[in-house]
Amino acid sequence: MTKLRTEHARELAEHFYRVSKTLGDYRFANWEKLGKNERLSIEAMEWSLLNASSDFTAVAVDVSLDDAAPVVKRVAHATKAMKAAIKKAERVDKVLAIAAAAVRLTGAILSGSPSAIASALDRALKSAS
Amino acid sequence: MRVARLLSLNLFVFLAFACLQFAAGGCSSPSAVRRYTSVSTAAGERFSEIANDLPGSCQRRERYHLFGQWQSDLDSLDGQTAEACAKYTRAAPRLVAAHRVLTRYLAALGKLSAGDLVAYDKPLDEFAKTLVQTDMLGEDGIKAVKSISEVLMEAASGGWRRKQLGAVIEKTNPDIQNLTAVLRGIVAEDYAQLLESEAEAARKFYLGKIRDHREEEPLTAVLVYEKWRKEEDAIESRREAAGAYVKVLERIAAGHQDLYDHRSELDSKDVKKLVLEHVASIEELVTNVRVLY
Repeated sequence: MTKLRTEHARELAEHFYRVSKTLGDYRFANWEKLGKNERLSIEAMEWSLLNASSDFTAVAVDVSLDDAAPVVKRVAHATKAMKAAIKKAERVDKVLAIAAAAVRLTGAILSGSPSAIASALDRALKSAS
Repeated sequence: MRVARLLSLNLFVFLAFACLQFAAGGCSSPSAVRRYTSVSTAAGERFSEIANDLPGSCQRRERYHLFGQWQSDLDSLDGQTAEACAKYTRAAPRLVAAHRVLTRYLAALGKLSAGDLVAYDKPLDEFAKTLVQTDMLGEDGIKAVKSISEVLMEAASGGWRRKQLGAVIEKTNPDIQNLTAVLRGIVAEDYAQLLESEAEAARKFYLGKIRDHREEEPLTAVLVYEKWRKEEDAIESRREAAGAYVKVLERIAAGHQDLYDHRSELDSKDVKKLVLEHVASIEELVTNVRVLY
């Protein structure tokens, strides 16, 4: 296990902060259209992502990877795709699926397991497609 | 009348004593190196406010989160926020101590420049030995703190004086550049990210509540909106203070680099002018940090 480099941790924190913010933008823009439970579900995942983003820089994350740079690059790609998909989503189910995939991805990264990260990345990309 | 005479006599005694003290310290004006180290050391005191606001910002963000969950136990709010932000609470004093290594080093440079001896700082030396890989300083920061502490210990135990000034600057410059870069990163990136998250948490909390209640209680919604705006202004002030402190660290690094580049001619007029430019800039920037916090 090696520690995630500071610059990678900061980059990850920024990506997930942006996803949380984009979800917040969606929730406020569609406030009247969304049901109360839908708003609460989205909000809960916004907070998970916001808190996880600060965990990346506050705790030294152990990862079983020789080089985390390619993973960070894939996460950047996935979160970019997720943000774009949230912005153009027409159904709340789609947004909820993306949010859940993003939360799962943060958990996988914080666990440091390469197989969990790979699986969560695939799921994140699928949710955004 | 007697009171006025007594006061003026006291003032005279005070001024005379101050003049004697100044004379004892040397009548010549302080060297550029001493002024640089003095102002840089004073600037360091502002860092503790920023470091202590790392857990502060985290706790404010967490409070928005918990306040938003009505089912959460508000009686244990402080305990829950403290637990969620414990990682920053642990990190803050260690970051302050790491920064103190930098300011102690700068103060030591000032002493060497004045021909004085450097005192051994046991707590700081012991702190450097306790640094572990999980600290927010990272590997580069830890290595720099340890190396600078070793130089300070050598200077104290070896009775170093002014003639060693150039050698000390030469030996420590890479570590000073690394440590200032690491501290800069913590303020410019990590603290800035925490403030961004705090601002987003405030938006999630206040805007959600305003949306929920604006029709039934429009006046309350207006008051809550005003409160949100004030908190946004406070976050903005902290952002500006952090930005000013980032520039202070950059100036400290640049000043030390100039001393390193001219280490064999530290008394030349050109070097004095160059270093005094850093001094003026640091003084101005520190004022901004002080005003904003």
